[in-house]
This record gives sequence, structure tokens and C-alpha cells, in this order.
Amino acid sequence: MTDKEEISVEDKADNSQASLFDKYGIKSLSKSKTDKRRVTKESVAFCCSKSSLDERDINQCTQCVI
Amino acid sequence: MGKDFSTAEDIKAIAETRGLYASRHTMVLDVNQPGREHEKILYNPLASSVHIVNSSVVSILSAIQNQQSIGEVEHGLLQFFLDKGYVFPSRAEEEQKERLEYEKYRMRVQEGAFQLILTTTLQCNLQCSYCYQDAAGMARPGEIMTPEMFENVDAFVDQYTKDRHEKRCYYLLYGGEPLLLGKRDREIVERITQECRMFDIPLAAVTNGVNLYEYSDLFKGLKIGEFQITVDGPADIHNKRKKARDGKGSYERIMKGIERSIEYEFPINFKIVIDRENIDYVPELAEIIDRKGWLDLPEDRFKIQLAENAALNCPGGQAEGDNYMRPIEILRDLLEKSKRHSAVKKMFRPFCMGIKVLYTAGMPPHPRFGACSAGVLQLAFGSDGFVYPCMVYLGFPEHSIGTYYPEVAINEKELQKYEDLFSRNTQECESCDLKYACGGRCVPSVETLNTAKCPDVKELVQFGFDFYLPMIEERWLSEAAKEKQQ
Repeated sequence: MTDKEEISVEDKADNSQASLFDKYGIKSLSKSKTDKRRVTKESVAFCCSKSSLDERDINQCTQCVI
Repeated sequence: MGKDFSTAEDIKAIAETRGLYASRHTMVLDVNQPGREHEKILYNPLASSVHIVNSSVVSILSAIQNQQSIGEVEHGLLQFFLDKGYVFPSRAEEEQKERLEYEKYRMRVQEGAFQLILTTTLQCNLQCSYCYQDAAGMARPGEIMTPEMFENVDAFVDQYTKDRHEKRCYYLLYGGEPLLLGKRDREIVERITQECRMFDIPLAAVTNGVNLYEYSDLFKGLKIGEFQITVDGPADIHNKRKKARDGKGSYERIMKGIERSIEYEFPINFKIVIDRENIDYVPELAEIIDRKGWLDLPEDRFKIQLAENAALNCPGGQAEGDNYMRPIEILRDLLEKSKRHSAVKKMFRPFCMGIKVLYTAGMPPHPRFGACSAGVLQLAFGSDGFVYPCMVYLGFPEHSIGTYYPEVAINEKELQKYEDLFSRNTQECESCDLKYACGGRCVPSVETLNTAKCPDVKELVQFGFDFYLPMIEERWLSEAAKEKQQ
């Protein structure tokens, strides 16, 4: 398969996914996985919570933060 | 994420022969906005997937879940379910995913800093109406960690980390109240800060803040993680709840300490413990801190932490149990207040089981395998010479994992209980479908103090989407518009 043909297959797949997403109203609420922004806000939280390097690791118990 | 089934026949074959397996961790939530009744939110915290979909998608997912015929479903949709972890070829594959995510979590945990909790004393200069330590009779008059005891902390940590992991660490001053003004109280804090200065160790404190002003010069130049200070309202209500043992109010002194800390750029975690007694005073408190400009500071310098008053459930608690408000009640009440009070609106960024993170980080939280790091990422050194897996067990030597003074000794058998982060939940939490959103409850708080109630997980997550969805969608729209312009 030539490069051009490969791109055309990818485009086709993208288009078919786009139409599927349209049909079923699917929208991701996460930013794109291709976004390489590193989510690493150092979170050294206290009380009975653990420290974490990653903002997405929730480090507080349900009692302390609501 | 899911297996790549290249043809519709592959998926169909599985669906027809042994059925697809719909994840038990998927939450279906409403889009509570006018005209959007036909839309639903799918949120799977194990897979960190979150999508808005039409109701018809939910019906198909429900059919898979109930093992009913799914009829003619497009291959692409089933592939979407599989890719995003809403559906698995079998339950065993979901369990494999759980194990994989757990291993990733363990690896992230290994990178985190080690929290050494230094409980310099269990005495306190306040007599809060809801103090669980008072209610549990934990105070030990005259018992203070001495500099000589502190010298042994290192030896215990050395022994602990042998055959385990070498880690960065930080100190957390804890009590009782660690910042008391007695000569011996001051002496131990000075010794600890000296160590921090010498070895560049970050320091934090959970303090009532009454003497923070007097201590602030001692902390200058140190790496301060944060000072967690609780203020329960404007002066009158705060002083009613958080009385000084000498009968004087604590409010003015605490606010003076916070002002000085902000001036010195010490991060402040401003905690408000909320129940029926003080919730109506929150708007006035919000206005006070807004006038001081604190709400305009970035979150890494000043953050608000709203907390339920869990100690009201504590046996022997001094305050009225009737005043207890569940977290969801607190959030609903404050949301109403935020519509009438601009300062509350400015302050109100509820956590909602981590849905806030979807807004701030742009991605959902990682699956939560228990919020607890007792005995693994934290050790609590008591003023009694015992070492506890966490601060909740302070004063209960039967739960200690060793001693650091006068002898350094580890109780390996007791410590082994804490090796597996996965087994931290109560049985009830462990079998709950919502556990990866919630993380489960603190076991000692459930078993020893009876302060941890099941927190209405689904309602809190729904509240989070109601609150943050408009902001998230606005952000995506404006980013998409920007991309188009480029």
C-alpha cells in the first residue's frame, strides 16, 4: 500500500467514526489523548492524604474534601 | 484499551456465543440542562472514560448489561464501547484491567513523597465543640516529643526503608496542636525546622493557626508544603465552635497568622468544617476572605477545602449529632448561596469525587484505589514513642507498627497488614460498583472512631457534572474555535 493509499484508509476510518459519533451524539469530555500536556502538578497534600505527583491521583479521603 | 475486533463478525460472534460484558463500574448520569433530556453522560472511573451520548446508546449498553438481545448494532459502536472500557469481551478481562490499573497506581505511589507525621504533642490550646480527639480521650497531658526522641525518627525510617524503597520525604507537624508556646513545645519545633533547613526537607503542618503568627519567622526560608488551618466562620460563630482553653476566642489570632503566612508566601489550605450550625455564616466568611484578596490568589498559594463535620458521628462527640450535614446537602446548600452571594460563587469549586479534576486537568481522575497510604507512604510518630500507620490510630498503641523511642523496633507482623494498598477498604466498599470513583472510606475512621459514612457517591458525581459541565463544554468550544482560526 502506498503512503497515499494509507492516508486515504485513515481518512475513511476518521470519517466513518465522525459520522458514528454524530449519529449517537458521542462527545468526549476529556481532552484529546494526543494532547501530551503532562498532568503533573505536584500535590503534596496533608492531613491523612497521600502525596502525589499527578493531579489526577486523588489524594484526599472523602471526609476531608467534598 | 479494548481489544481491536477488526470485523463486525468478531464482535457479533462473541456477543452471540457468550455475550459481551458491560463494565459494572460505568455510571450513567443526566445532563441536567434544558433541552438536553435525551443526552446522558457515561462515566467509567476504572477506564477514566467520560462521554456524552444519546439515550439510545445507554439503551444498548443496558441491553448488554442485562444480557438481552442487542439487535442490529453497528460494529463501530461496539468497538467504541470496547475501546473506552464500557464493555469487555468478558468479566475476566475487566478484572485484568483492574489489576493493570492497580499496578500503574502502585508505580505512581512509589514516586510520591513519604509523609513523616511528627505528632509533637496530643495537647491542644483549643477545645473545639466537635473534637474527636477530646471525645476519644486521646490527650496526654505533659507528653511532648523531645529533641532526643526526634533523633530516633531517622533510625526508624532507616530500618523501615531497608528492603523497601528509598524515598523523598517531608515532615508534617501534627497534634493535638503542634504550635504551642510552651518552652518544650517550641524547642521540638525548632529542632525539626533545623533538620528541614539542613537537609532541605519540606515541612507542612495541620495547625489550628492560633500561634502561627508567633512561629512564622521560624518557618521563613523553608520549603513549606502547606499549612492546613480550619476557620469555621466569622468571629462569633468560629469562636463559639473553636474556643480557646483560656476562654478567649481564637479567630483574630488565626486570621493574623494566615495574613502573615500569605505575606511570607506559605501556602494555606483554608479548611471550613461545615454543618447546620455554621453553614449560614459561610457567605459572610467568604466576603471577609474575598475582601482580603485571598480568593484572588492561585490555588497553590491559597485553597479552600470544604469538609463535612464527620466528627459529629463520633461516639461521645460533644456537639449535637443533629447538626451533621451530608456532603451532598452541604454542596446543594452552598450552590444556592452562591447564586445570591458573589463571594461564595468565587470561592465555590467543589471537589465532587474528583469531577473538579476533569475541569482543571482536562481529564478524569485516575481510578481511586483507596485514599489511604497508611504504613506505606505515611508513618505517624507519636509523642508516646510509638509509631502508627497513620494519625487516626494515634493514642491507640494496639494499632502501632513499632516504637521509635526509647527503642527502635518494627512490628513486622502488624506492618504487613499495610503492605497491600489494595486491601484498604471495608468489605462493603470493596464490593461497591462505585469504588473507583470514591476510593472507599477510611477503615480506622469506620472501625475505631465511627466517623466515616458512605458519602452518596453517585449524587456527588452528578452534582459535579451539573456544576462543571457548562465550564468544560465552554472550554472545549473556545479551544476548538481557536484551532479553527489557526
